[in-house]
Amino acid sequence: MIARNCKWIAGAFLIAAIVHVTSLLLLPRLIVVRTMSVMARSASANTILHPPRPSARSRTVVRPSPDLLYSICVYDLRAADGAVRVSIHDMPDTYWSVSVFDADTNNFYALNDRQAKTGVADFLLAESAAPANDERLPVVAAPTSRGIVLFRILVSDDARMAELDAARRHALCAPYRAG
Amino acid sequence: MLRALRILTMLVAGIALGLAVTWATAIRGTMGGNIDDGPWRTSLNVGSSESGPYLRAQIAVHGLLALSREETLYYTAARDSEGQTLVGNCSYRIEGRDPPARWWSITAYADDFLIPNSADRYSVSMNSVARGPDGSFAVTLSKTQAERNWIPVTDGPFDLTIRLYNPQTSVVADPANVPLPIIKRANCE
Repeated sequence: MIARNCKWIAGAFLIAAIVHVTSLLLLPRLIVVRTMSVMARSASANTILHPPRPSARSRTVVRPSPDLLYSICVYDLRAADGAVRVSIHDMPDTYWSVSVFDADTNNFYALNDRQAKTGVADFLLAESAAPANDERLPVVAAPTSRGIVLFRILVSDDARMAELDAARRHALCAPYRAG
Repeated sequence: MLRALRILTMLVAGIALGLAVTWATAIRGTMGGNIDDGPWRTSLNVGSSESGPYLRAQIAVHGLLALSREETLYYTAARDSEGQTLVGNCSYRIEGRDPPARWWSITAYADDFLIPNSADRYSVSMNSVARGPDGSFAVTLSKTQAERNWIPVTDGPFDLTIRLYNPQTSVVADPANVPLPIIKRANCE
């Protein structure tokens, strides 16, 4: 019985291996695309969102930290004609960071408050070729044309919520136009 | 007719088996890793282009937008220090001292989301934890309110994540021997 169906069983295992590898490789990008689609219901690409402090009602991104305020932006370099400017300034004295993720979930860039030193982060996201840039902003090469920019701000004290919420609204994620 | 039936069976069985293996290896469970430190598990390749396909898929499912090790290290525990699954009908004490990082927090999750509770309490952190005179702390995980350092949980399995923001160099150098808190089961219903 088994010998007679051997080629069909082998075929099923071969298909299983192909399906497993394909689904494993596609899964991260599918999840990122789905997350970006959910965010697109609230804001278009290259526009920053300032969701409320995470709670049990937060369902867009898994495992949020309730101790952080997040501001988030889907970057789309093609829609921006090549480059997106990401910046934040006048940040208060607490941990904060800006991190950038490509469509394959890689965290390819991060800058925190200690590295920024002056309370300012200001850079361009672009595909390989550096765009015309009169302001001499640092250019971060993005591996994929779409991805996610995420600002994190630590709520070190609940009494500072209003101050920190106001500070994160200085964040920018928008198409860059030289000159 | 019989041949067509065999081809159809082969296709269905192959697709089902392939998806089942993906579910078992990448989707089921919680944030993955290959480094154990007591009940805590982590990986140095979270958020990194060095992560292999299994870790990358696990992180996409259970920890999307996690930072790379230079910025933050995430340790997750789904079991207590005796190896028993964490469940909400038991209460637990997390005992330890400040981990070696600029800032840390311990957060409880069920199915990868914060656990609903009327107090809107989900974590303790370096800023909020109450410490004893010797600097140590004890956090209570329970359904009923504890006097201090309380993280509410509800019935069913849950897990914990310790975030170490800007970890000291010793953490990345030897992530399996970081002095992380122990998780002791106190009592069960």
